Amino acid sequence: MSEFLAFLQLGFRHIVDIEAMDHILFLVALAAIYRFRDLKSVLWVITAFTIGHSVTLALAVTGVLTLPSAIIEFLIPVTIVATGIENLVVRDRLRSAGGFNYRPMFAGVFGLVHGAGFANYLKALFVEHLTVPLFGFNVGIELGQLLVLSMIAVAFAVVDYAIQRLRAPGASWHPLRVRVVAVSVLVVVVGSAWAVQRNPW
Amino acid sequence: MRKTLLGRALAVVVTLAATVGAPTVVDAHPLHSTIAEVVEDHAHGTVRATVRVFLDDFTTAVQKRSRSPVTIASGPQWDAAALAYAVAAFTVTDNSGRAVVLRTCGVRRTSDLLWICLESSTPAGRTLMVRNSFLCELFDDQVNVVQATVAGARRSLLFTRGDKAKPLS
Repeated sequence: MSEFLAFLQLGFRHIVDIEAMDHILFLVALAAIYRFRDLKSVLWVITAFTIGHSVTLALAVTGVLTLPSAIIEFLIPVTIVATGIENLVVRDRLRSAGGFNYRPMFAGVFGLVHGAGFANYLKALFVEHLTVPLFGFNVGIELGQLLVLSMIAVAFAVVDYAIQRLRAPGASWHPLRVRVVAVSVLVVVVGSAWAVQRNPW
Repeated sequence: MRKTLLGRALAVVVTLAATVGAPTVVDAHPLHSTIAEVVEDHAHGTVRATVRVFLDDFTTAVQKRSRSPVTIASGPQWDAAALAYAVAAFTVTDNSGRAVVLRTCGVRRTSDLLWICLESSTPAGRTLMVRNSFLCELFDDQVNVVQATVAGARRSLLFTRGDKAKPLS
């Protein structure tokens, strides 16, 4: 196996793991507002998130940036809570925040925090031959995220179907809104509990 | 009807989150991994491995295996327990299944990381097999990377819990 493939697998396994629940929950929060037909928007948001965490990962591993672990571990659930709250509060993203779709930028900034989350581990382990391991690890993370997102999309489709079945004919509420609210409340509650537990102060 | 359904859905979600989700995951998501460099030098008939492992996890593993509260500050007692763990978890065999006995060639510490060096002379003309099960007994998601250089050619191997020995070249 090549070095690239080895580190790709390392990154992939790191994300496709039940212990990566904070990362997965953030993906759930990001994806909560979208439907299958919004695939293009989802890809923009995930790409921005990827760019964000790749930047901090590269800066931290190469020693350009030193990040305090306790603060980063606290900020990760904060990004989850913030995304959940944004899902709940903002109903029309094109009419808010200056009239442009800011969601990718939002994901990119929060991606900076998530990249920092595993940067400290990698910084210690990747001492030499940085480029190939780092690139492979990042590609593995991205492939893992795509797999997780696919699973989230399927789960959302099932939830949407269930909500649609429960909806009375002529009901004024929109099934997507129910899913967004339910998922976002779950995300906010769990994220808040983690933030309290990881409070460094 | 609308309020009732929404209210019930939210109540279920909040209850689930509060009772199941929140208390179960407290810690951040650490990367459970070690990286080992293995160089087989045919000219000198030696094999040398350097395993990079986080000190805190390694200490837990050594304590568990030795059933004693040794730490890196324990001196010779630690050295013996750490080496015993390392040679049990990192094994080299030849292609007939015979174990190559590894000895220590030093341990160095950089911040939270230990660099554990193991070496041995190797039988000529035999393909070596390696197995790295460092910390696999502690973590389900442990992944050990072995980067091997044999006669100038590099290849990488991955080891997870339950993996058997794999050829170095």
